[in-house]
Amino acid sequence: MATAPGVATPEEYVGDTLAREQTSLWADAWRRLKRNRLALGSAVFLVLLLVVAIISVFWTPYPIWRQGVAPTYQTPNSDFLLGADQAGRDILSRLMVGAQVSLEVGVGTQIIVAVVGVTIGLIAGYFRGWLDGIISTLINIFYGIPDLLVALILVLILGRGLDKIIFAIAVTRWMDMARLVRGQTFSLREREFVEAARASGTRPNKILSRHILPNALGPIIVQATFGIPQAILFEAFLSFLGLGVQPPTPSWGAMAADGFHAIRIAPHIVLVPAIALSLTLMAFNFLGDGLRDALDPRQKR
Amino acid sequence: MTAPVLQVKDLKTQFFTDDGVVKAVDGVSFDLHPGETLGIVGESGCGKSVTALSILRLVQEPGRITGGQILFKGTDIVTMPGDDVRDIRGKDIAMIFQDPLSSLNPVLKVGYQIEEAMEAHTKISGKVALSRAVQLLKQVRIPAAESRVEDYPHQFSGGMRQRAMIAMGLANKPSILIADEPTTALDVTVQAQILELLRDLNEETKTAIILITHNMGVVAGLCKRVLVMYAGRIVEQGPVEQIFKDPQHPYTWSLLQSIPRLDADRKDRLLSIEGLPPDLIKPPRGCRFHPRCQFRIERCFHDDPTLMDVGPDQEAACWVTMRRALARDGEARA
Amino acid sequence: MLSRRALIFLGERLVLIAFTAVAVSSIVFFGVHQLPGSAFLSDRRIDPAALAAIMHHYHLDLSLWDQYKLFVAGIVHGNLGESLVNRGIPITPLLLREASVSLEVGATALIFTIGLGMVLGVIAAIKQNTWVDYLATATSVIGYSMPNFVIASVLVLLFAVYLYNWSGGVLYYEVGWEGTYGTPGQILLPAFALGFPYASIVARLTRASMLEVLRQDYVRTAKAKGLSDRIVIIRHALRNALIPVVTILGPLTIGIITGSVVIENIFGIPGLGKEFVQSILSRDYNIVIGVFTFYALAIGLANLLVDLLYTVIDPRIRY
Ligand SMILES: Nc1ncnc2c1ncn2[C@@H]1O[C@H](COP(=O)(O)OP(=O)(O)O)[C@@H](O)[C@H]1O
Ligand code: SF4
Ligand SMILES: [Mg+2]
Repeated sequence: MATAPGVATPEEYVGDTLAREQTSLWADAWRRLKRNRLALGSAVFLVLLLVVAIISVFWTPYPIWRQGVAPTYQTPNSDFLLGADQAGRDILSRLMVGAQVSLEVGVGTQIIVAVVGVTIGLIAGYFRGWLDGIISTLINIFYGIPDLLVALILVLILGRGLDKIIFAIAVTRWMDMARLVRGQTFSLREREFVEAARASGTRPNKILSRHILPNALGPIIVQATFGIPQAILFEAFLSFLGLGVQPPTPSWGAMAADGFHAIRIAPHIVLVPAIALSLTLMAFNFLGDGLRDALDPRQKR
Repeated sequence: MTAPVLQVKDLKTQFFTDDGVVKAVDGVSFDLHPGETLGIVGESGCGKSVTALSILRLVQEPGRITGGQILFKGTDIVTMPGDDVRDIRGKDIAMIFQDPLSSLNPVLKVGYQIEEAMEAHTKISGKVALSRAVQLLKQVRIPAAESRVEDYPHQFSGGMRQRAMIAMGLANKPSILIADEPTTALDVTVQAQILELLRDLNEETKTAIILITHNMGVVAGLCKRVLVMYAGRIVEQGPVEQIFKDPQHPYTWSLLQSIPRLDADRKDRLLSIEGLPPDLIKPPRGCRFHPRCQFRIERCFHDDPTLMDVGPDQEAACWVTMRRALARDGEARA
Repeated sequence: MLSRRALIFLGERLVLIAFTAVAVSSIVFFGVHQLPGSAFLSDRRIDPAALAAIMHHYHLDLSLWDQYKLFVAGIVHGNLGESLVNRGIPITPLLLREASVSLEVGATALIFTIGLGMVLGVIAAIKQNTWVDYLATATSVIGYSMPNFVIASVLVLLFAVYLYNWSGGVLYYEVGWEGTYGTPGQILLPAFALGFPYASIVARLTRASMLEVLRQDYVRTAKAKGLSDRIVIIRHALRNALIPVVTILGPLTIGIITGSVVIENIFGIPGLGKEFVQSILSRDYNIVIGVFTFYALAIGLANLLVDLLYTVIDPRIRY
C-alpha cells in the first residue's frame, strides 16, 4: 500500500500520541507519589541504607570479623553504638555490611527476575498458543512448590556464595513477574496501536520492545519493588537456618540466629538485625504500595 | 384528584470528587400520584439514576443529597432517621435495576432472595415466605415456579432474571416501584414482554411505577406522563401523548427524532443528537442545552430558562419552544 | 449426596496428587544425590567390611538408577526407607508422627491467619478511609514486613523472658516441647508467629475483595430491599468476598509449610520442619526425600480442599 508523501503511517502517528500519553502518565505518577508521605519517607530511608551499604565497602567502625574488640554481650554504649555480640564483635559494623548483603541479594535477584520474567512473559503473552501453554504450566508448577525449601537445596548443591544464593532465589521467585508481564502483553496486544503496527508488518521483537514493553513498564517496576523485599526475606531465612552467605560475611538473618540462644541475657543481638530487617522490608513494601497507587490510579482506594 | 404519594421538591444531589463537585441532580421537582405511571427519560449521564437512588437514599459516597425534599406520603425521606428509611425501602418503595444479572446475588438462590425481601419487613415463617415467593414468581409469569425458586441466578435467562427482580420488588406490595432502565440489557422481544408485564402489574396491583429509560419508545409503551431530563434538570414534562405529538423543548424534539425504528435491532444506537451531554462539574452558562441546540437565540447563551407552561398540563424550560422555532424556520424558508 | 461425577472428580484428583508426590520425590531423589558430603562421613573409623555392609544395606552399592527403581518400588507401598543416620529407624512412621505435630501447629496457624486476616480486612473495608482503616492497613504492611523469626524472637522475649522476670518466675512460656505434642499454651506462640505475616496478607486481600463486592449491584439491591447493614455485609457481601480469598489458601499452605521450617527450629517443636533442617545438615538424604514427599501430599490435598471450598461457596462453580 502506497502512502501519500507527508502523511504519517499509522505506526508513526500512533507512536507519537503514545509517547505523549506516556510522558503525562509518568508526570502524573510523580505528582501522586510526591503526595504520599509514607512512600516518600520509605524512599529516603532506602537511599540512606544504600549510602550506609556503600560506605561499609570502604569503612566500618571496627573490623567486622575481629572478635573481642568489645567485651562479649556488650550492651550498646558510646563506643559500641549498637553493642557487641557473643564473640565480642561490633554489631554496628556487622549491620552495615549486612545491609550490603541484603541490598545485593534483593536487587540482584530482581535484576535476574526482571530479565527472565519479562522475556518469558512477553513471549507467552504475545505468541500465545503452545508456547504460552508450556510457559503457563511451568509457572503453575513453580507456584506449587515450597519455594524456600527448594532454594535451600539449591544453595546446598551450588554452594553458599552470594551469587549462588541470588541465583537460587531467582530460580524460585521468577513467576510473579512472568505472570504479570504475560497478562499485560495479553491485553496490550489487542490495543489498536499494536494491531496497527502488526498490520503494517512491524516485526514482533520491535512491537514488543517499542510498543508493549514501554506500556507495561509501570506494573513491572511495581512488581520489582515488591520482589526485592521478598528476596531479602528469603536470604534472611536461609541465613537464619545457617545456610545463607558464608561466614564471616555477616548477614542480618545469620546475626539474628547467632544471637538467639543468648536472647535471655543480651536481646539486643537479636533485636538489632531483626529491626533493621523489618524496617527495610517495610520501606520496600510501603514504597511499592506508593508506586502502585501512583502508577495505577484506578487501583487507588 | 388524590394527594400525591411522592413529592420531590427541588432535589439536589452532588458528588464530591477529586476533580470537583458533580451536580448530578440540580433542582428536580415532580409529583407522583397513586397508581400513576411516570417516565423519566434522557440521555445517559443526565441524572436519572441518581434521582432514583436519591429517593431511597441509596446514593453512594462521594455522593450526597445537598438540598430539597422528598416527601413520601407527606414525610421527608431526606431528613428521616436511617432506620425509618430502611423501613420504606422495599416495603413502600421498591426498586429494580438495569442489569438483572449483576443485580442478583450470584451465590444465593433466587427464591431466597425474594423471601429475604419479605422477611426484612414482616415476621413470617420460612414456609409461608417460600410459598409466597412461588406465588410471586407465578405472578411475573415464570413457568415451573415451584422448582425455579431453588435455582441460582446464573441458571435463569436474562428476561427471567428481570422478572425475578420484579417479583422481588413486588414482594411487599409497595405503593411505588422504581424501574431503572429495566429493559436496556435485554433483547428487543424480551424488552416488549417485560414492558407488558409491568403494564399488567400496574393495572392488577395499582402500584405506581417510575420508569427510567433513555429510550422514548419504551416510555410510550408504558407511561401516562413523562419527565425529560437534561444535565441534572427537568427540561420538559407533560402527558406522554401530548409530548409525543407536540414536544416544545428542542431536546425532547431531538430525542423523539432519534427513536430507533422497530426494525433496527442495534438497540443502543439511539441517541444521535450531535455533541455530548455537558460536564456536570461546570455546566454551560445560560441554557444548558445551548451548545447543542440548533434553535438557540442570543438570550440562550446567558439566561437560564426555567419550566414554563407551554400547553395543557405541559411545561418546558426553553426561551424559544418548538412551536416558535418551527414557525420561524418555516418563515425563513419561505 | 456425592454425585457420580463428583466421585470421579475426587478420584482423579487423588490419583493426580499421588502421582505428583512420586514425581516430586523423584526430583528430590536425584537432587539430593548431587549434594556434597555423606551421612557416613563421621564414621571414618568404621572398618571397611562394616562400611561395605552398611552400603549394601542401603543399596548404596548399586547404580543410581537401580537405587531409584528400588526407591519407587518402596514409595508406592508407602515405604520411604530407613534413616541413614539413625540406622534401622523406618522413615514413614517417624515422619507420620512428626507430620501430625506440624499439622497441629500449622492448622492452628491457618485458622488464626484466616480468622484474624478476615476480621481485619472486613473492618478496614467497612470503615474505608477512616483511621480504623489506616490502622488496619498499616498493621498489615508491618505484619508481612516482619520475618516470622523476628516475630518469634519478640514473642520469646516477651513471654519467656520479660513475663518470667516480671512475675518472678511464676508465669512464663517454656520454649521447647517435652512430649511429642505441645500443650495448647505452647502451641499458641509458634502458631501466632507462623500465621501473623500471612494474616496480614489475608487482611489486605479481604479488604480489597470486600471493597470490590460492596460496589456490586447486588449489594445495592440488598440495601434497596430494606435489609440492615449488618445483614447486607454478612449475608451478601462476605460470602462473595470470600471467593478470591479462598484462592490464596493454596499459597498460604505453602507459606505455612516453609515458615514452619524456621519456627519449629526456634520453638523446638518436633515436627517435619525441624526434621527437615536436621536431616539436611546431617545429610540424611532419605529423610529429606521423605519430608518433601509429605509436603507434596500436603500441598496437593490443600489445593483439592480449596477447589472443594469453591463449590461450596460459589454455586456457579461445578466440576
Ligand atoms: N459515584 C459517582 N461519582 C461521581 N459522579 C457520579 C457518580 N455516580 C454518578 N455520577 C455522575 O452523575 C451524573 C448522573 O449520573 P446518572 O444518574 O447515573 O445518569 P443516568 O441518567 O445515565 O442514569 C453523571 O454525570 C455521572 O458522571
Ligand atoms: S433555551 Fe435556547 S438553547 Fe435552550 S433549548 Fe431553548 S432554544 Fe435551545
Ligand atoms: Mg442510569
